[in-house]
Amino acid sequence: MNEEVFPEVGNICSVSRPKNDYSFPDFTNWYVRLVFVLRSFCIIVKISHHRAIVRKNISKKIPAATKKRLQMSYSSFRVSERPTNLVVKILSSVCLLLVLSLFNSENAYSQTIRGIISDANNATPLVSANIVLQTLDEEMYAGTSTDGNGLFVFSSVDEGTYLVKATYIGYEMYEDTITVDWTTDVINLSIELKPGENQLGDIVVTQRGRDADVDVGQQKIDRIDIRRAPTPAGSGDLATYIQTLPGVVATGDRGGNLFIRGGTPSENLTLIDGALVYQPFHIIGFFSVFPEEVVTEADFYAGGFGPKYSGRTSSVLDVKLRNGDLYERHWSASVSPFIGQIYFESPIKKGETALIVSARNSFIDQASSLYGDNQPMNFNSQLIKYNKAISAAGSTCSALFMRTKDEGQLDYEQGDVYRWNNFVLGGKCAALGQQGSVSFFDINLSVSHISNEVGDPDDPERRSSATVFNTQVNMIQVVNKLRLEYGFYTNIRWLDHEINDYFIDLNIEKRVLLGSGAYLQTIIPVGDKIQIKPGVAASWYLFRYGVSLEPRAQVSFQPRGKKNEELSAAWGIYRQPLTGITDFRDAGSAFTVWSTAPYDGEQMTSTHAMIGWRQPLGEKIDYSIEGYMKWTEDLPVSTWSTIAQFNTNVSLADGETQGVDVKLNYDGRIFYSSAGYGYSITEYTTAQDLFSTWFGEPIQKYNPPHDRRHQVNVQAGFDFEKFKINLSWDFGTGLPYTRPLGFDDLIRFEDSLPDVTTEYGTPRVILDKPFTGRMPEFHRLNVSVEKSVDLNTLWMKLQVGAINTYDQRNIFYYDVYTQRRIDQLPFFPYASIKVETKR
Amino acid sequence: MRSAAKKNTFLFRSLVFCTALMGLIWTSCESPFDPLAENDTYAFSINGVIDLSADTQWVRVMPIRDSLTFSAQKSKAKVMLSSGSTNISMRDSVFAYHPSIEDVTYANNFWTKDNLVGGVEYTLSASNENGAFASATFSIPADFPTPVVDYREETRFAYVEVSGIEQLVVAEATYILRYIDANGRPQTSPPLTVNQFETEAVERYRSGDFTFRVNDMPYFAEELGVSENAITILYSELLIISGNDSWPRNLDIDDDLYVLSEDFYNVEGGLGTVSGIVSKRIPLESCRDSNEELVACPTLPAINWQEQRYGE
Repeated sequence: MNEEVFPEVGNICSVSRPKNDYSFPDFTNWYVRLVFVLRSFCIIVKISHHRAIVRKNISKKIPAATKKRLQMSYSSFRVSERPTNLVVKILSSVCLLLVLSLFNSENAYSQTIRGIISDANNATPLVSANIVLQTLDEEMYAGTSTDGNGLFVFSSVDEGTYLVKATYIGYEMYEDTITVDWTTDVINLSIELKPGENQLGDIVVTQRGRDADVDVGQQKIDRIDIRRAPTPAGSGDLATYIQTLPGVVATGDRGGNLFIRGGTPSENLTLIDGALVYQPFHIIGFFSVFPEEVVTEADFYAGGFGPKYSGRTSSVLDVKLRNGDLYERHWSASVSPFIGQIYFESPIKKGETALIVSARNSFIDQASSLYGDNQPMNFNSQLIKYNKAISAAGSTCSALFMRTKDEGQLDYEQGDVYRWNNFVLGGKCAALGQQGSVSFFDINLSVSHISNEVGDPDDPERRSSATVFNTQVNMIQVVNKLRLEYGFYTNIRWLDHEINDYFIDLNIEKRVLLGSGAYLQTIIPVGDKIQIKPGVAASWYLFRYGVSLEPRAQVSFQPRGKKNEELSAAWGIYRQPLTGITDFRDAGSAFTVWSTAPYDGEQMTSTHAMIGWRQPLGEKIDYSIEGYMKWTEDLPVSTWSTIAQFNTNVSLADGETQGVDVKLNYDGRIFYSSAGYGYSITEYTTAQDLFSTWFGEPIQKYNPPHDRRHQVNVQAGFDFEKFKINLSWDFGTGLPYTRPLGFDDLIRFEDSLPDVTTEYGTPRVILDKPFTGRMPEFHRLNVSVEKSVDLNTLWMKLQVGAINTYDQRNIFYYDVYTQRRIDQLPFFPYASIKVETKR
Repeated sequence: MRSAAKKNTFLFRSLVFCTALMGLIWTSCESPFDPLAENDTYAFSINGVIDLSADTQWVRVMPIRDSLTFSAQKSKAKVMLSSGSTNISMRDSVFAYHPSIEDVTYANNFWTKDNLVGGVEYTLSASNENGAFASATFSIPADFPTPVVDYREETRFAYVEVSGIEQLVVAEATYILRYIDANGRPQTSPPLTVNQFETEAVERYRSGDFTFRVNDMPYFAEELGVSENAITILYSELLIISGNDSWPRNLDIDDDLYVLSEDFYNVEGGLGTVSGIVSKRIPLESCRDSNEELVACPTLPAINWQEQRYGE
């Protein structure tokens, strides 16, 4: 047993930190972790008790009408049953036992070799790098690959001397020897790989990501993927690429709203180096805050994600930014009719610190007049990241600043002006554990802010803002062959809106929400072929929501190893404390009110169930099939209206989505292509006061306006020497809309005796049941051709291309009141030029 | 192994080619978009009141349109007002309305000067040559005795008794006032109407009989910002309207419920309300017989729907 001095335990719930002790807790010490968990437990108990009292008091103040409405939504009209508390409790108990085993098995491990494999130039962790231990006569002893943090761990290694070999596409192979003896429990071995002569660069992508641990619903995206989607700019953009994935529905090329497997935009979680971005997509749908230059890789989860991610119920986009080069300076600049952008990357102190700066500004507002069209939309964004390599052990710290500004009219003829601003300030440190069994930990601090408004540009009628300050600690621990991932977070949110009765029921204008949470996930191998990842996320919000548990699990079966076919499944419960309420009665809206659950109700809750099959066919081809179901409860939706009006109530609905996504990839040296097909049905069920009067039934089912039933995406590219051709064809069946039956004039009797000879009445649209109509199919072909010119130390890339090459009239939305059809972008040819330094 | 890979590659390329070809073929097909839903539910929008006391009856009959606006044109609808063997063909007039200085909108109002009978059920039907048909069935209440008004000059307070009616649907007092404003200048008001239901003065004390108190000067004094003594009543009258089941009930509702709820419409095959009424306009004053007993005052001319109701 280690000789450690234990502080006096006393009453663990009242242990306070010594004054002037600002040191960060040593989470590698098991005693510190134990105290942390016990204290957290005490806080939960105290808060729950206090909250129960507060809730009891608050409940007395709820108006009778609201109570009745809540009862309607929560009990008698519940269509999909909530997961039983028993299941949640059992799963949570299992996870709790795993936590306890964590502390009991402190000294159960034997010799462990662990480390981080990173890029020698910028300390960026290399994901899915291969590392093997061989005996001195070069016989394989053990092998693994790095995870999303670049971390590898060999546990229970026998005494002896081994050859260590680490490889990664585009880098020189690392080779060394290492001796394991009984004098040390843990050997930290961090490896920096240098881009080598056998660097295959960005061109060859064979087997890219094939070895990675990819869960069902997950898609790993790197710069090469982003670059392959034709984008009307000098660089690719993550937004353009994501829209080529099956299961992702964009309601148009304006507004920046993406619906993923039936979820709404506000249910998507976007992280940039661990910091939340509320609205990552620009008002012009081709662009996001993630141009190709700044992204190292991104994990996109269309559902079924693990407990590390919480607070959203639909999808996760976890983007890892590039670290600045610690030794060399790089830059790029590009311009197209849509956008101009500059990128700069430089070491500050060689080998230790570096900086990247990216800035973008749209030109579409000015350039569209050249095409005889008017697209009054503007955006700009700035991103600065500072990174520091703390040691050769692969530990890094970084700081991030990002801001965006978007403004424009979605209906460019006479619509409201939408405007939103993002602001993100974040800091992150990631390090290898120096002692004990914690292999890796990272600490995140961030402030994220969104403000959005709509109306007259000089005096917007409606505005909403949300700010969150978040701290999070994540840790990875390997005990024997059991991998544990866990973490804790605390955040405080400030919500504010002034909406002039737009959503009549949202009468609270300011609110502060304090929350905390923790998660635990384990990876349990069952033999060599099966891997089970059970986990649970727990959260609580002071004075608002009780303690909630979100059990989740993933299972994978790889009968012939990682490089071959894989059957995987996922299940989980997801809760969202903050809802983004948008009036999606028509698709042309980009104004979101960020609020807690309406009517002081419970958190929006979603249950995901997914199953998938991935199958490689030789070296270059693979396909995947995923089936999924989602059940969402307490989803805020606009109350149905049979007249066109500019304000609405908020009602609660249950959503059910089921679908299948199929993806086929061919990844050759010169030619590459992918085809995706998505089939999806999303149905909402809602009970509203007037349904019985209108339709004779208190409950109605309908397909929301993002219910795209069939979707096909085909991408193909040709990359030969200095020429590159990319094309992308997207097809989607029509989206639901509410059809008008006709028009008449409403003569009212209640104000005075109606006099038809002097009163015209109020013109009105007589609407059918909401969302029973379907708009026409959407399809579009985007093409780009690029030529690279070698200018010694620079590349000049000349690109010509076209959006909507065959000029298809794709409807954006239909204004039933004015009977105007607003279309998406017509045929839009462009040329771009980009100059960048060689790497 | 290599041949299998080649085969896979060939198959994949073929698949991509075929998909691209299908896409290009698809592009030649432009999907039509007809945003209007097929409407076989509502043929006409019919609104109006049939007033037994009026010499001309006016009803708005409009087809359910394909657009929000309506250009001036004679209606192709045939509108009939029927009761038993009596069939009255109503005549079309195109009315122009000016919701703002720049805008003008039009509507088809149908009218008849034929005499109608109280206490009888009528059907107003609209049809056109395409077979569209809508109708509203309603009854016109029987005539009722002219209400008796007990008006006190000194307090300008009135007590009104209405009897022999099925449903009191409108009880309004209308005034033209002269008053001295805050700057000491004399002003004459336009006609000001007070709904007596809103003052909660109406009481039903037995079946078919209603009473209400009219005491509107404190309200005007507050609204005009003057003392009651500074107000002189130049003209005052009462409008009492009797209705029945055809009058829309529960009018204190929001727009949504009002629009498509059958509770508020009596038009079948369309939208709208046609209601039968009997109106009485009486001066807001007391009339007495030779024995100084309170009696009903002579009624004022019935509402002329085409003229300003309270013109001087």
